[in-house]
Amino acid sequence: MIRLEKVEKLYRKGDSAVAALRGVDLEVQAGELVAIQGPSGSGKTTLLNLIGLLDEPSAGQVFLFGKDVSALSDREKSALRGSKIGFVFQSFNLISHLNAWENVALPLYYRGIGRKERRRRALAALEGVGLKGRAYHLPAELSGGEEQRVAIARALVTDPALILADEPTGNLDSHTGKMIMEEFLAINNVNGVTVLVATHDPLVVSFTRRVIELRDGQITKDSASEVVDVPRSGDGGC
Amino acid sequence: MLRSRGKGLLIAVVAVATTALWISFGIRTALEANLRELVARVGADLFYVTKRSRELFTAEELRAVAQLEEVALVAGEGIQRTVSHPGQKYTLTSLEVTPEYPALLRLSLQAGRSFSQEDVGRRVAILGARVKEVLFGEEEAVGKRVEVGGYYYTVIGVLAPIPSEDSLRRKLNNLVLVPLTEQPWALFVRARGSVPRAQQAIGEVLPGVSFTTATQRYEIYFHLERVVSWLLLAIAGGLSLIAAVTAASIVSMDSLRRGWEIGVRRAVGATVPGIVRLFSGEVLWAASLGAAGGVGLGSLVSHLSPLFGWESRLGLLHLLVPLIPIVAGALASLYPSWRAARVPPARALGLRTLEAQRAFGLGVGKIAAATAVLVGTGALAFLAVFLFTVEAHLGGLWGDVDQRTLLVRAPRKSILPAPELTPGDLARLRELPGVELVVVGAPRVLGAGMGVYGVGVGYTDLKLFSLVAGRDLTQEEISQGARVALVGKSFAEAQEEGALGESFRIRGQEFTVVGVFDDSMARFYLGVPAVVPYRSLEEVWLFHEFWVRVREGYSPQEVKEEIGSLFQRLYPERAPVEVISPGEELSQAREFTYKLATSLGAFAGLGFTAAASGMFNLMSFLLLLRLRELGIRRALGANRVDIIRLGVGEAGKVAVLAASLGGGVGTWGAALALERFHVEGPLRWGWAVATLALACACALAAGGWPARRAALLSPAKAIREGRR
Repeated sequence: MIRLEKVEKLYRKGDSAVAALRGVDLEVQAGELVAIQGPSGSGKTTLLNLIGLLDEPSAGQVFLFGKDVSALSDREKSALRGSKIGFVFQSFNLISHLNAWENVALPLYYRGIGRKERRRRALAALEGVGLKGRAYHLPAELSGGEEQRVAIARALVTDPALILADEPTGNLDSHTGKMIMEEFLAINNVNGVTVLVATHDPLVVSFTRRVIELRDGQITKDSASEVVDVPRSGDGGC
Repeated sequence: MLRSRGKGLLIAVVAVATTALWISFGIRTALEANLRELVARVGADLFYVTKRSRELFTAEELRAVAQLEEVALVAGEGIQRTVSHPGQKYTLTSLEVTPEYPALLRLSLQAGRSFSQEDVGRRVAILGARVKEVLFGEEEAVGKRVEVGGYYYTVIGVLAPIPSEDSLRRKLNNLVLVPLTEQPWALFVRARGSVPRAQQAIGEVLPGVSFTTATQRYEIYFHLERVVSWLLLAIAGGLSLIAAVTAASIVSMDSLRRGWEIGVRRAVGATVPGIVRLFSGEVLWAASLGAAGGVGLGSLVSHLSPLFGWESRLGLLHLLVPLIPIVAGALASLYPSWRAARVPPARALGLRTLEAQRAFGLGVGKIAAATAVLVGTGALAFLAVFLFTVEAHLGGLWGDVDQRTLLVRAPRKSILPAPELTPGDLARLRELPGVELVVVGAPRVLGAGMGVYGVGVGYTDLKLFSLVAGRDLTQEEISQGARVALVGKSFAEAQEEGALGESFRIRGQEFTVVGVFDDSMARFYLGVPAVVPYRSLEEVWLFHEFWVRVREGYSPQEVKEEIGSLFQRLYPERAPVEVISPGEELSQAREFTYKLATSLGAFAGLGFTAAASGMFNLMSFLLLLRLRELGIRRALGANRVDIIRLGVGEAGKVAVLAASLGGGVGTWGAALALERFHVEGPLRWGWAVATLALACACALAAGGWPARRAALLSPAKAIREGRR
């Protein structure tokens, strides 16, 4: 489902460049629940952004659903994001002036689905995460846990094949974090959705079956292939 | 500091507003000073008397006024004719006056003598200083002969030059004074003692007269300057308003951008007035820079104004000029600054976007941008509707006259003696092979902008004027010289009883009105309220013109040239006749309107540009605020077009509403102005709609461009940048 070949990502800051990813090779099969682990600045978010077509690699190739994404136009990438990928962010990224169901329905809007149908499906998705009663509340009126569950409902509303979650429990207490991870586990088990979770929270790792460890933009460990021999920081170019 | 783009916009808007104010005040100051100086020279005890019926004063009436104890001196004014020379930019005007006229207006002579009672009825003339200079140079003029309107006059005196600061009487430098050939239609009176008492005494011996003070009389001469200065003042007011709303908009957006900074400043001890001072001080500084630039530009334009035929002077009012947009901007910035400063520091440090928008009042920014669009669109709509409605009326200047019809007349712009153009030329024109029909016409000014147009046989075939009521003159009436008349619609509407079937007097003769023609524009350009058969008046006509219809198969251009050569052969020493088509007549009529429109349109355009820039500024900032949201939308499936649509939609809400209101207000203003100028008929609404469409397109483009830039960012970057 996901294949990365020698993917690099450089961020330019003035005259200098910072390598966020350096020669990453990765393959994820459909239906996996994978944790991407690593300290801050290790490249977890960048990796998810590239897989989620939110950004483009500086070098290397990304294959998604069997397609080389570099060959896709912006419109095709947008359509792919809207139909097959769901995102869950650390800071929830709900739009503050839209209420809960409108936030959930947003991906459906960009798929051209009518308002009535959007609301029906959004309310169903909210019901799925136990928040139907909060459907007409603005994000500012919800707790952190509730906001994240709205974000999960938004990620699920299009029945995606892949969910990318970036530090989904980062802003939550441990109890709420556990509830959220149980949601992901259920999504993965029941619906067969592939889930990639970027985290440095051991609690999250305990819920996953495969753990990939990132350090300084490189995969230092993959529980599926047990990659261990890695160059240390500073060996690669910037 | 205010964002540099916002500051630049504020400086530009204030500079343009200050320039417009500076020029407008300069014109008004010069106008008022001229009036004051003029009244001081001629005396405030001078006034002007005309008959409401527009009839001439008789010799007995003139004597009766002169004999009143309350009257010190009285002089009559008669026909005024103007010819000018385009090459030399020189205008010669002859004015028929009574012998007392030079003394009454306190005109001194540099050579010769003034009129005496013995000169009445003689062909003698007093030349203005400039006329003498052009015609005779350094040579002695007294005793020589000059030609005015086809007659030769002996020069008996030359007026002393009138200084350039005396802008009304300066026109006398270009004047030839000649004795009255008929009774005066206006009297200049100098009161002995109180002016009201003198007017009361005249009113008792001459009921039905109206009085105009010297100031009011001279104000007429400054009508154009007054209109232009008012229009400039209105535009300057609009630009000051735009400056104010721009300042409010910039502060509103800037306070939102600097919410965190405000929180920090408040946390370390800044007070509410301190924060207000911070923002208002920055606005004051930018506005002051703009005002300084505006003063410089305004001074430059004022300095160059004589090149464009305007006079401008500095006055005390100019001290206020830079203050107006500065104070407007500073006052407008107070409210958003105050709102920003009142947010508690803890909230300011952690505000979410929606809360921030509410707290800092981004709505103020939207209202400000909307007001700027409203004012800019209003000004453009006003000009477009006004101009194109006038243009449409100009199209109806003549009736059904086609392009094969030519007007042959004495040139209006020449100081050479004009060709005589007598009725005898009728036969000569008819002999030309390309000429199918010749109709004689005789325009005659009755005074005070009124006139009568005598038309000869063949007129009914030409349909010179469009009838709106009654019937046209018949061939029989024209050939028999019947006392029937067509009158202009404006004249007919001014009559209490209506005009059709009624009689009125022209030069002592009774005429019956048989038809009313549309004079909505003809009156303004031609001054023709009545059309009568040529032979109906017994007096000898001094001026003639001919309407010539070109025969089918002949080129109008060739016939024009033939007519020109014919009159050149007939009158070799005189100025060439003017042979023009209706289209050329229209072009001449348009010239002034277009000049005025171009200069005013430039200001309106600047105002609108400022409005569009304000909209761009607002939308850029609004989208910057929502950058993270745009990134999220992109992550959830929105493509670039969706994002651009979002930006355009956001701008559209503000722009369409404001531009619609502005277009409506501008059109309403144009309708009022057209009514004031007596231009009747359907408004050209289409141009208001076109202006509205243009305004919306510009505003939408101003909103769409920042959205396009935002859409080009990768979703990840938008989310990342939006977090900061």
